[in-house]
Amino acid sequence: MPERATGAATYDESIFFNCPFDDAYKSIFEALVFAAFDCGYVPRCALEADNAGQVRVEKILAIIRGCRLGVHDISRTELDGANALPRFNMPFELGLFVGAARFGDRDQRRKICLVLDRERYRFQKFISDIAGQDIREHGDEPERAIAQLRAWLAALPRKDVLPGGTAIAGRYRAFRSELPDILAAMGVHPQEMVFADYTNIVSTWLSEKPRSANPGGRGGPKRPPAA
Amino acid sequence: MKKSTISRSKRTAAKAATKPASKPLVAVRKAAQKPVHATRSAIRRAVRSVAEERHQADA
Repeated sequence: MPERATGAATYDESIFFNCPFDDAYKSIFEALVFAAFDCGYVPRCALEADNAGQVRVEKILAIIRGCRLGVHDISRTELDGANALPRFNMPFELGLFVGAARFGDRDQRRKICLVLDRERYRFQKFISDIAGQDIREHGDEPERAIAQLRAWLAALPRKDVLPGGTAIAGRYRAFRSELPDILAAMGVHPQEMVFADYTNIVSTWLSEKPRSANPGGRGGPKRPPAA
Repeated sequence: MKKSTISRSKRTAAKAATKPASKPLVAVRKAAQKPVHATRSAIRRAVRSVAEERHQADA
């Protein structure tokens, strides 16, 4: 049960995002990150590992260990344009997460995950072993992805009430309309914005603009982990 | 004890020449390893200034 107060994220409040990081998926990824913050959680992903001197898989394992929740998007099944080979990172990291939930300690066994694809039953054709997981479709639409994430989070045992998917999407649109000006004021070109910049901007924007309706009495969005 | 014939300033200069270069401060080393991200206060200022501009434009 997430505490609704600003501060460092705990295991229960952290969501591991395992998804493509390419330009084609960027609109969905950034929408999901915003929705996670707006629901009081902290999104974490392998992009945190990009600037560290640590072996990448070790960093990913550390992030998985620190997140009770996992959102895995397996929609990127196309062959890579340059190499004509598929990307296996997402299924691999999904396997790591499920393995931690199966074989880990008591805390790790409390892990739960949401699997996203563009169509609901498409996974049966390429990764049928995950049947039985919570698999939902986003249709390559950011606002649908927000709605699916919100619905999944809302089903978890909790004391407060999450805003609806429509409300989150509305706030996200308002945020997107201001983002270019915020970046300009910071002196950051949009192409230079890294994951740490984006998460810091989102959490700051949300803390500056609390929802008028505050059903859960939440204190504000969580802060992203320090870079 | 025999008094040195080398002046104090020359002894200091000779010592400095043989001394290994001092290590940079820990904070400087850490800063060099970290990527440059905008600080939260800078982000907050940017968010507030944009919100203020929008508010004035709407008014």
